[in-house]
Amino acid sequence: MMVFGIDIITWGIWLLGFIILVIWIYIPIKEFKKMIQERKDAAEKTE
Amino acid sequence: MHLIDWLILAFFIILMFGIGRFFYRWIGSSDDFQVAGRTLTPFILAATMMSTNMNLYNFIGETGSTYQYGISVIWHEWTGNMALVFAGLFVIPILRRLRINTIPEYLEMRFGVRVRGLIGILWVLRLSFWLGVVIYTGVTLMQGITEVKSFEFWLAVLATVTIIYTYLGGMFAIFVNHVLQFIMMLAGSLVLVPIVMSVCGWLPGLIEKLPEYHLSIVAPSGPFSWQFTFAIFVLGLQWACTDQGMLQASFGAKNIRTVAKGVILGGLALTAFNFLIFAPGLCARILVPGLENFDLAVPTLLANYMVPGVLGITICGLMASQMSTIDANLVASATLFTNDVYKTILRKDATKRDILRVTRISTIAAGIMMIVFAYAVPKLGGAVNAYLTLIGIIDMPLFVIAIVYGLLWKRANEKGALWAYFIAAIVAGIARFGFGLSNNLTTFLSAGIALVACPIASLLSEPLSSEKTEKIWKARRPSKEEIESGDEYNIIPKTNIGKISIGIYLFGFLLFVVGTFLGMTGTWIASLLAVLGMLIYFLGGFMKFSLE
Repeated sequence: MMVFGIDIITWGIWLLGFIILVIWIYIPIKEFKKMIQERKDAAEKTE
Repeated sequence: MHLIDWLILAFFIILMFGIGRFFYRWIGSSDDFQVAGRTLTPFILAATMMSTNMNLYNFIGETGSTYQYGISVIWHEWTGNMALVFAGLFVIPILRRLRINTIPEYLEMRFGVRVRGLIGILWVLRLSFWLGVVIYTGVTLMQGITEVKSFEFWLAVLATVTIIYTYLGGMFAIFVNHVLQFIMMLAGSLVLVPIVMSVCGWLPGLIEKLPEYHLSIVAPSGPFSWQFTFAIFVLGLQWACTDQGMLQASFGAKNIRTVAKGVILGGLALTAFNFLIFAPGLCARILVPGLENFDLAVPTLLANYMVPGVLGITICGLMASQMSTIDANLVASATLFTNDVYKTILRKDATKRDILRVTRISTIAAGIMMIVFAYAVPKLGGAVNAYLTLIGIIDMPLFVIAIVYGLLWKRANEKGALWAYFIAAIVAGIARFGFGLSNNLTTFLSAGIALVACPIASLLSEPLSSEKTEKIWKARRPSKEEIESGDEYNIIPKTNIGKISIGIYLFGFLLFVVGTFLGMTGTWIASLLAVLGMLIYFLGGFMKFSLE
């Protein structure tokens, strides 16, 4: 489990957590921007 | 805490208010407030489900249990994630198609108004009690970590912030805050884990220094043994299929496939995250041995090992974990009262404006009850354990009635549901409090009695009219709108890839059961099989919603 002095299991799980963090910053921002745009378009249509 | 930590905390609190204020303009109806107008997308849904589920019960309570008893308590979370996958694949799509806002609403649809009223009232009280426990643990943590020891101060801060942004922005504000809160919680864990693991000597250090079985994922004995794993899996199914706080988020999803995707993504991501949460509990056993109150394991680690600035972010993460549970359950409690008591019993002709107004007022009322219960918690002694006992007794029969018979057997009727509920809850209560039966066995007992009592009472009384079951049975298949949009979701797979996915899913479940059962031998093979089974189970679930 130690490869070249690195605990690959712990760091492997840590890396998975880091990837999850990046995904959950990037994609929700995209989804929110889309939601706000849809809201603006719907408001313009009713006007 | 240093000045920079206080500044980070202040900025975080102001941000929460700002988000609530921003979304105030988005709230035009009770649907907007209660389920964000059903516009949610998968990753936001997944984040909100994870945030609602994570709080100091996990970061402090469960890590404290890890400190004392070992890693096997992680099944408390992992089986919950497995249950989420089950619910996302088979149950929540049906509930979402019915366009309900609360489980009691579904219960009226399926059985009758008496079942709805009973569960609505019980759940409002139960949720308020749970909120009191949650906020109490948050206040206790802040008293422990900071120099400000006043109970009233931290109660005022946590309660005011959460109630106000929830009142202003409803579920829209909650969903956005949940994404931020999830990021804070995960970031805090990613900072803490390498620091404490390196001091312990990483995994080899844990293996060398921890007591026997502390690293056994399926433990042969103790309070979190293989028996606990089975019992908590059953309770997990009940929670994932009927918990209002969790389900309300999924009711906000854009469509059925989004529900399935969001719920399953949430379960998968949380499984990896769980290990990052529990690892500090193991490290604390080595770094701060001999703690009398083992719930102080993680707060002590934070105080000793986190540098200024990073401590502030971590504290925000912990505070966020409380707020994310409190806000979702405040709205859940308000929704339950408004839809299942106010609209159904007190004022049937209420207008949409009335309903929105009452939902908002109920949010404040639920917040006040939460504060009252927070003062009561220390006087009750062992309140968290009492709460777990309560849900084993009053929630398990509901799962059997609402999900097992409600969705699978048309002949189950209102009388069957009521009799099964009362008999199961009363007998389980007597067994637990009168005869000292364990929580694990109480859970199985209440479920077993409901399983037997419901069909007997139903068969001895008049059957329901077919209208009651027709709408629900129709919801088991894709709706016309889904088919027309080309995005239908089939619960029973129609394609070969869907059938293979379910096959893999079931194989994974079987492996998990075998591994857990083998846990009584105390061998490493049991842990390996159980974890492998869980991962294959997830793979099957993931394949089902993404490839079919």
